[in-house]
Order: sequence, then C-alpha cells, then structure tokens
Amino acid sequence: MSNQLFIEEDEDTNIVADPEINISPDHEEDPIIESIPIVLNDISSDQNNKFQVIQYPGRQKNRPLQGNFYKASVKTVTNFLEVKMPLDTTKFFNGHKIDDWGEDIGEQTLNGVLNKTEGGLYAAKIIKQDGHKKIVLVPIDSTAQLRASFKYIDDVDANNQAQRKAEATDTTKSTNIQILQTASKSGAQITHGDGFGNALGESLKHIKKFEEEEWAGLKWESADGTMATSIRQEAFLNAPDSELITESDLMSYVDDLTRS
Amino acid sequence: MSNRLESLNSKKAPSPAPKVALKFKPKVVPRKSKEERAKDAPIQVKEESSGRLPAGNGRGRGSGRGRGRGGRNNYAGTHLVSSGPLSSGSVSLGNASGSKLGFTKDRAYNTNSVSSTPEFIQNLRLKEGTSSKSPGISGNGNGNGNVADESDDDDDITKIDMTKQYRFNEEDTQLFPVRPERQDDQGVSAPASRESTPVKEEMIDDGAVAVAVDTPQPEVPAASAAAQSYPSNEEHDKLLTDHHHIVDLLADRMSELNTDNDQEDEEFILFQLPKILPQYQPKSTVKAEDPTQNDSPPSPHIHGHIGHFNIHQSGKVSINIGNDINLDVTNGAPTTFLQELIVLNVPETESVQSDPDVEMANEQGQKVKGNIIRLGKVDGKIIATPSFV
Repeated sequence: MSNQLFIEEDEDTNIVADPEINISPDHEEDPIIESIPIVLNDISSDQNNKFQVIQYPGRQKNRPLQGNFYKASVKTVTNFLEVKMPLDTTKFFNGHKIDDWGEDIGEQTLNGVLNKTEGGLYAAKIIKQDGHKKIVLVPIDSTAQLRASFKYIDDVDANNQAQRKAEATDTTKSTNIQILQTASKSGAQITHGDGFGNALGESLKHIKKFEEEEWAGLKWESADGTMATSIRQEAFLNAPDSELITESDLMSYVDDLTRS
Repeated sequence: MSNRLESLNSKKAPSPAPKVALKFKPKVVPRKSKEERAKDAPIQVKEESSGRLPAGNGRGRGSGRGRGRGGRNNYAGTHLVSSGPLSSGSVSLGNASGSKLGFTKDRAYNTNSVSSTPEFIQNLRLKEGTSSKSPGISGNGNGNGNVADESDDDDDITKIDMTKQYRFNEEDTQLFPVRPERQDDQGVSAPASRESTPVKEEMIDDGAVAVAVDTPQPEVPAASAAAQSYPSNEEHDKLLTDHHHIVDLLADRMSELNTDNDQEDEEFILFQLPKILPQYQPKSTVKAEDPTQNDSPPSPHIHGHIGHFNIHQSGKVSINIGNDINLDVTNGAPTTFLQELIVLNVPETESVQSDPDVEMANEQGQKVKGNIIRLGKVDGKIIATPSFV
C-alpha cells in the first residue's frame, strides 16, 4: 500500500541518461549511401519561355488535362490567365439554361492571376543519362491558381440592374441628382482618407487597366506535342553538366541570406 | 346584595369545576429499560450490536453505532458494508441505489449481509501469518474470553479493527493516488531538450568539441550534436517519415525512368530552395585563371551542376550546394488537386511573329500572340532550408 501512496523522490535517477538514443548520428556515423547530382538549368532568360505552375483547385490530381481542345488567353501586363475548357454537355447539363445565361455555359472558364515566385521555386525532374541519375532543376517564373469563373451569371445580373437603373432615371429626374450628390461625397471621402483612399484608388486603377488591356490569345500545345517535347529536351535532358563551384562557405552564405 | 350580584353569584358555583379540568398535566413517558429498547430494535441490528458488545473496551464506538441504526427504522433490513479507508472503493462500485453517502458509508438496501460485500473486498485476502496486533493494544487486556469474537471479526473483512495492523497484498490495495503510466521516451526526452536550450548551447559546444577532438572536423559534429538534440523525438519521427516519403518519391520517378522512357504524361516535382543561391563559377575558369573569361560579369542565370542530393544510411536526406553548405530537406504539404507545369511563350515584340500559323486569331476573335505549352503534371514538393549542422 505504501508504495502506491507515495511518489518516490529518487525516481528520476532510475532513468538512464541516453538522450541521443533516437537522434541521428553525425555524418561520420551516418554515411551517405547515395548521392545524386543536382543540375540547375536556368533557361528562362534565353528565350521567352517562362515556366509556370498552374494549380487547378477544383480538379482532382488524377484527372490531368488531355488533348489540346482547350482555349487559353492571357493579359501579359496584368498577368491574368484564362483557360476555357469544353464541358460534356451530354451529362448533368441543363441545356435550357442557355436561354438565360447564353452560349458561354458550354465551356467552363477558369482564370487566375499569375503570381511571380521571387525565386526559389524549381520544377525538378530526375533523368538518367549514361547510367547516371541526376536531378535537373528549372526555375519557375510564376504560379497561378485557376478557379472557375461564373461571369455569365454576373453579366445577367449586371444587365438587369442596368435596365432597372435606366428605367428609374427615365421616370424621375430628382433621383438622378441625388445619385450625383452621393457620388461626389464619397469621392471627397476617398481623397481625404489616408492609405485607404490610395489603396482603393490603386485597385480601381488596376481594374481599369485590366479591363482596357486586350486579351492575347494563346495556342494550346499538349504535353505530347513536338513543342513540349523539344522544351523538355532542352530544359531537362540537355541540361549542361558542367560543374560549378562556389567560394562561399556556410557562414558567408547565411550572411547573404539574412542581408537580403 | 343578592339582587345586585345575583347573576354573578349564580355562576360562581359551577366555575371551579372547568378550572380544574384545564389544569396542565404533563404526560410522562415512562422510560424504557434497556431490555425493552432492545426488544423494539430490528433483528438485524440486534445481531450486529450483540456481536460487537462483548468487545468491551475500545469498542464503544462500534456498539454505539449499532444502537443509532436501531433508532431509525427507515433503514430496516440494511447493514453497514464498510467504513474507514476501504470505503473509498465504493466509488468504483457505482452504487445502484444512487446513494450520495457512498464516499464514507455504503449501505446496501434490502440485501443480505454477505452477498452485498463488494467483490474487491472479498478478494482481499490477508497474507497468511502476517497479521498481528500492535504491541500496545495487545497487552490492553482484550481478554481471553474475546478470542471467539476476534475470529468472527477476522472472517468479516468488512469490519476493520483499528487496533490491528493489516498486511494486505500490495496488488489488492492500489487505492490512491493512482499514478499515470510513465512513458519511457518522454522521460528520456525531457533532459535532452532541457540541455539544448539556447542559453546552454555554448557550453555544450565547448564540451562536445573537447570530446570530439580526434575527429577531422571538430566543430561540425559538435554543433550537430547540440542542434540535433533539439527537436523532440516526435518531431524527429516526423522528419524521418518525411525523408522516407521523399526517397520514395524520388524512387518512384526513377522507376518510371527505368520502365518507360517515353511516357506520355511526364511528372515533375517542385523543389523549394532558398531564394538566394551562393555565387557559382565554372570550375574550369578557376583552374585556368583565364582573364578573358573572367572579364564578363557572372551571369545571374545558373547553368550547371550546383550540388548533390544525398541519401544517408539512416534514411535521412540532405542537399549539399557547395562547400559545407548543407540544406535540410523536408516534405512540402501534400495537395489533392491537380498541378501542372506549363511554359508560357509570349514574345514581347510582335515582329518576331513571322509565322503565319501563329498570327491567326482564335474563335473569340482574339489575336493569337503566343503559345501555352503543357509539359506535364506536378506532384510533390520538397523544401530545402539551410542547415546549421
């Protein structure tokens, strides 16, 4: 009974002091069993080829895009990418909605902003040449998340609202004056506000810029096409194997990293 | 006189009689003798009290209790199961009657005496020959006539003689406090993490350097010992799992290489390295010291072999990007959605587009200015961070 009632004070001494039982041993005790060379091949500057990673949050990873019946367009200044994918209209598709929403619903519109990576992100591929494996890294310029856009529904709403407004302005002129007044007031508030006004102004400017920019159509090339094969060949398989050395050691490298 | 007080006088005569009737007379309850009270008491209680009465000296409390129970007839047919330290076991019994008194006394209603004894108390057997009376009490004249009584009490283990020293089996008497089971690895990790706090790190370094003097690079293993002891074992296990996963990922890609070189859907891995890489220069120029090649400023775009991806015997993986610059490798967050690698080729100057095939407009009337080339699927992400090991 007594053993269970009281906690022995010297119990801690029973623990064997072996703190590194699960810790990885040092390099000497943990030899390298395989070493794969890493080759960096920055080809983005040579041509206008810019590597991008496109994420499709609404699409399972086991459903890759196949074929080349996709239409893509981009706004290069505002970095906006849009991809249109045809839908299977034979299943789960309400054809009558075309009357309301227009012909556009036959294809799904995905769009997103191309965000620059600021370096550090690479697409890697393991290749085997002459029996030697190597990992080839190619820097990625930007990433984009393409999400479904339902602009056609917004367009219908916008049209309805515009119609209603037009009807209202026709019937009463006094409301028209009121609208003008509120607009001028809110404009004054925007200019007086610190920071907020600027941010709003910037974003409005950006939207204006975006809307004014012309879409640049892109020709879709599938992964098994000749262009894709040649780029893969150039970027990964023909990556230069010349050895590079650096004079910086760990401390100076960490200094560089922290200074940036 | 008689006329004036006639009415009064006439009533005077009968008045004394009711006064006598109203006179208070307390009802005296005759005191019952001991035998009479014992007759009224329930039979069960009578047994118990009679069993305890001969204990005489030092047993007054027990007999008094029996009498008290007898006074309350509402608990007729009940008996006291246990009291004292063993009564704490009643909590675990889960008293079916819902008695709130379970902590100190356990009353089993409408049950027979022996069958109501809790199982764990029944299992409580004395070690043979170890029970002994405490020396002070044994000489207190407990009486040779009380031997039978004592043996009765011994049989009924729900009654505890406070003057006796009981030696129960230890495994039967695990009452309180119950200590949680101690996990060995936690016990080990605690001192390890304590030692590797930033304050003490310098001290550890010094000590470790002194120990590791015979190694070719004394400082590096010393620092590694201190830094690697920092994460707890759980983190370390997670890291190991990460590393195994990375090796599996690479092995997967390698097996793809071996089986089918011209696979239609190519797969890529994302690598996240530090934003800034060390300044590299071609090995040949350093050796040759060729001034013509050194004139050109180093290109920010790196082409060539910058380092190694190392797989260690323990399953750990690391990246070396020159000299002693090692990077720790961890697995990125897994994704469930599709990621693809594409090349966007949009020439900035329109004059480049001499190809008539490119200059056509698409169905939406947009001028086709470039290509979007799908290269393949991206799956998996490997993150490399500078290691100070």
